Amino acid sequence: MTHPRRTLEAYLEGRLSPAREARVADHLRGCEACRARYDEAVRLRRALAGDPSAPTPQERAVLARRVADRVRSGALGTGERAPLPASRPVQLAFGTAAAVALAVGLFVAFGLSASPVVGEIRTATGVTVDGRPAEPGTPVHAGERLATAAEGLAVVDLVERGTMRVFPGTRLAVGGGAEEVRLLGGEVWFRIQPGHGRFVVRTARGTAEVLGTSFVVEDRGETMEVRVLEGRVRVEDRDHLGQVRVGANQKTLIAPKGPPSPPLRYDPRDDENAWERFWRSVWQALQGAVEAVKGALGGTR
Amino acid sequence: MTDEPQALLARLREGDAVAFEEVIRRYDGVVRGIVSRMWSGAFDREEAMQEIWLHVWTRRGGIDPARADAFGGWLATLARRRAIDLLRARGRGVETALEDGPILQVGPEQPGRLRSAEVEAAVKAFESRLRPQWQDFFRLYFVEGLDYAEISQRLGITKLRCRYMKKVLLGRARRSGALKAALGVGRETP
Repeated sequence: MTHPRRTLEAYLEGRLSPAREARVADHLRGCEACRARYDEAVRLRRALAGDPSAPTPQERAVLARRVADRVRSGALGTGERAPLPASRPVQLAFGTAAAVALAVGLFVAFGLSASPVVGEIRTATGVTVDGRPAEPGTPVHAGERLATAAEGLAVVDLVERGTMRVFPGTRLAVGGGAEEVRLLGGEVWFRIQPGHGRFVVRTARGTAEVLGTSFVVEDRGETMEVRVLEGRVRVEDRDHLGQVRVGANQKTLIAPKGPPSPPLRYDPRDDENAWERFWRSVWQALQGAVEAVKGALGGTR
Repeated sequence: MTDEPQALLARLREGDAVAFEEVIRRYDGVVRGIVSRMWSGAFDREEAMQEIWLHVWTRRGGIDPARADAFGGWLATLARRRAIDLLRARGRGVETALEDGPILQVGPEQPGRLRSAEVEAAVKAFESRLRPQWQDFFRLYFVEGLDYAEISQRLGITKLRCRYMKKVLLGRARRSGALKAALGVGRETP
């Protein structure tokens, strides 16, 4: 990495993504000149704030946020029930009446829960939350594991964030404030509302960070693919080897021990068709079950 | 956040990262005071503080929320031990008598100290040369530490304008001869 002169200020202010922040910190650890420059920048800001020997309020806030971020990312990597505490409390000042209704309803029903509610299941077939069968209306709390069976599907409304369509055979956990999803395997289609800050999807291979868009993340174990239907997504591999911006109708693939590929062309109809196909098969299975029950009831009369 | 210390510590003990973030802000001075005596550079200090706070997180089961008034002392002991471990792990000796040394800042608030009259005068002179709106921005951003959203509301300017003003002011401050001299820019970090 070249000397991050321009990004030092952004690092100091805590304005970089976690991945870029990690890269700058790595560089600072090994570069005395940049550390000296960083120290000077800190001293200047402290002096402007009125006391060269005391940290600025911003400095304290950035430190607290960095530590809490490390706790959150580490907590999700434990493999147990992710304790993933909230990064911030779920706000009640939602933008839409629907969001208010959803939030109030969830808090009235589950307000005493230890972890905040981060979403509600709208559609569920073959879905479990922390091992318990889930149905439409089931709340999802921060850190709980949501899983779909091989023939299961779920649509989850994320509080203040948008929705996610969870494909069959997927496992994931949502972070507090619904700003982070840890994809542990499988495939999820996100439709994220713009204007609500950062939203990050992490897999074992890398991260995808968006501000408002529609995209699919597929964790295939050794590889990860991100496909963008609308908006833009920044994708970075776990080892910070590279970073690409993927726009609408593009995709990128992270291979084992490699950076994300340059954006490739992608036809969003593939995912739309796949979702329709899964949805139809689930619907047909449900219809079949209903018919079977009707038949059984008719036979007993 | 206005949680009482007991409630805040109880939430931290339960593993709530939001509460942890708030605890870090409130008790920043305890850890910072210890680290300041053991590391010299701002970056090194921040790294050490991160490691210490992460250590606190792993030991949060030892927090007794009912004894919130003793938390500062508990934290200081833990922080000092961890700091010494970090120094040893990095192959540095623990030169000063840290084991027995007084803790400079115990308590949630860190008092301002070592105010340099020279720096203060240079900053005042710098500020006095700014136009009124720029002075307002200077105070809100650099002194009060407000973010762009709050400043843009108060001053009726866009966030983009805020960013521009910050950039310009930092550039001017960096070029200010009086400030440079007062801060010892170019000399070794104290």
